[in-house]
Amino acid sequence: MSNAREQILQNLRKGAAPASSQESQLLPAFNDAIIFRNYEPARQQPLQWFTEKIAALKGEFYLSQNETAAAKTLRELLVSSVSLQDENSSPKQSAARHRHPLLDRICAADEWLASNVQIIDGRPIASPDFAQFAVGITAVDFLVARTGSIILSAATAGGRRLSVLPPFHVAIATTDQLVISLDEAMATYQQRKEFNRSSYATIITGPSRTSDIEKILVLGAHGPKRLAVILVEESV
Amino acid sequence: MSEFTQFLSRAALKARDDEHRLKIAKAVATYETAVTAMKANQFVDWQAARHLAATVKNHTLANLADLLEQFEVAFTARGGKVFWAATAAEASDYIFQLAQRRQAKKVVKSKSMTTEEIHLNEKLEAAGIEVRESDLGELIVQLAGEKPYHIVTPAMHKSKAEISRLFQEKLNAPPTENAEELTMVARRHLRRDYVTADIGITGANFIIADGGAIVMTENEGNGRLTMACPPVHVAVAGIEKVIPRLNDLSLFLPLLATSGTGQEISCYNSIVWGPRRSTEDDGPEEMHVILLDNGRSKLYQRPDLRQALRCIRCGACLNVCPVFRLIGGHAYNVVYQGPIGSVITPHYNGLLQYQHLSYASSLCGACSDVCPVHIDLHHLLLENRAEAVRQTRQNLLWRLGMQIYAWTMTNRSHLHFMRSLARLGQPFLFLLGKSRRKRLPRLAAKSFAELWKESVS
Repeated sequence: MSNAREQILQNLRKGAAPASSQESQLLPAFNDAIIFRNYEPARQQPLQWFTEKIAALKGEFYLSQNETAAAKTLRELLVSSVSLQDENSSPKQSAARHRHPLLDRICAADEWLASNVQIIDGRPIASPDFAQFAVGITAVDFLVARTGSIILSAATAGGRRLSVLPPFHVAIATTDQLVISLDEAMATYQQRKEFNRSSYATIITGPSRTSDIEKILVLGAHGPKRLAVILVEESV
Repeated sequence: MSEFTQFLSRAALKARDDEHRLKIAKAVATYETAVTAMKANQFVDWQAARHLAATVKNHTLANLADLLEQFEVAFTARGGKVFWAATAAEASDYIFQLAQRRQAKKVVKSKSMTTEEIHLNEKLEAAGIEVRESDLGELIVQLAGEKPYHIVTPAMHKSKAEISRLFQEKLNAPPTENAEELTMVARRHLRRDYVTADIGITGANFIIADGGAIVMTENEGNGRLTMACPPVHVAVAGIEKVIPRLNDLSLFLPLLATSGTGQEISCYNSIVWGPRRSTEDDGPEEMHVILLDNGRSKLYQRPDLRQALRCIRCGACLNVCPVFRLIGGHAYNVVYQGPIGSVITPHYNGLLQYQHLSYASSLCGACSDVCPVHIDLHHLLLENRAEAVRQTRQNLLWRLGMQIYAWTMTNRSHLHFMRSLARLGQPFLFLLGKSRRKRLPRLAAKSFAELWKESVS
């Protein structure tokens, strides 16, 4: 094992350009503002840009003025999605979330949510049982205006499965999480220690999709068929 | 039969297959419309963006050994395991032994060309381990008993009707030619596999040196499920996949998505820093990253060819290549098809056996024009040709022919002499063998130079 390692590194060192060469030294710094045409409009109207982008991606977007309104929106979404039957979901539809200050407050604000949304933290749930959940409710780390993406990590999504295994993913965000472009989010991940504790982050841009059959776009290939983002304008 | 002879007969067959030509033309047209629009809409200056990406990659390659070690240190510190594989066999043996240790009965895979490169499926299946390809296109070719047709679009060559027949036959699916219904058949078929597999295997689109992570790009979500459900995650990554910083993703993800499929950014881009942490509810207990060399460090030592290692596997050069469009992905009979494959395969699999791929090009340069990391593909193909000629002793007739050609083309009076000889010889050309598909035009009675001379005098 170490033999291969040494051999590969030796080959690479032997073939490397001299450390003084231009290409060894030049690692350009750049930011999204100079690369992307849509950076500037996204910077000027981040919320409007995000809203339009996510709609174009066939995602759903709900703006709630406060947490009580968000609770109402979430409840309506869950109730209306009862008809949403996944192949492996039991007829008794269920929604799951993890513990998170924002989600805790929103679910506490509505009796129906409090009794119908399962909290899955701290309980090892076998993967097959996990597949029964019809809706996964998560928090997010960032909303990216330019691309209409949401970014979550294992820390804010309660792990890796909840945001991808259930056929319907509801992400709840606050306005301070809205960034203009990807560079800002990546820089924050790189700098902030608390994010570094997470083992996994994913940039989600619309519901799952494929064009593998004759380049025809189909939503809901393997991941969620539906993605809804609820943005809480005034959060505690 | 040599690889070359087989290549010729496969190519000749596909070149005359009108149905194949129509399918590929349709897919490529859809692709090109989307890509052209996305380049213009998303980027201030596409040329500047690809130049920037090439500069970042040049820096990466110049410091590759250090960056790989930086990745290893950071990734290992987070509980991940790094295995360096010099050859394809070392890589597949490692995964095989891991599967034995875990007593694995089933592995689920997301799309990965490196696992094709190390012949992983064959190795695991021979030991009775069930291998489930989960990417829709990969599933289609796996069920059909074929190899991926295209590095990004593995089932580009299959029509809805063909896929429908395949699903009916292999998955007992109801007949339908609706793309959405066919996709749902695959979704249902694989649903249980994610949650019952013992190992999840993926590739990696990028290795981040600073902080130690791998990044996987996809649209379907099968990759995320593969990394979320099984207790073990193995990622097989070529050593050239490194980018130095996490921030570089803000350029490389849109660049890859634009060139690969004409999307602004792919649906899911996942960054994985290691196995599940104690504070997290799920994720694999073990995570292994295999750093695969398999010829790359040898190619690296060639300053004239090293730029081929900038490749981010977007597939753009395949889509625009007139040869690829005509003969299709399977004719190449290699893991990496099209121009980039023709550049690297001879160095990974044997220069002499695969030198013919360097000639599977019209040298039109369309590949070099579209490459998002500015690889000068068609010139690298010329380098490969020169290399092959230097290494082989060409047969006597070929060498004689080349000497005559050089004699003719380096002196005008020689050229004039050969032209008059050619006029005399042309009626007897049929003696050399007749091709029904190719006919040489007759030489004009007088050349332009001769006509010019007459008109002036």
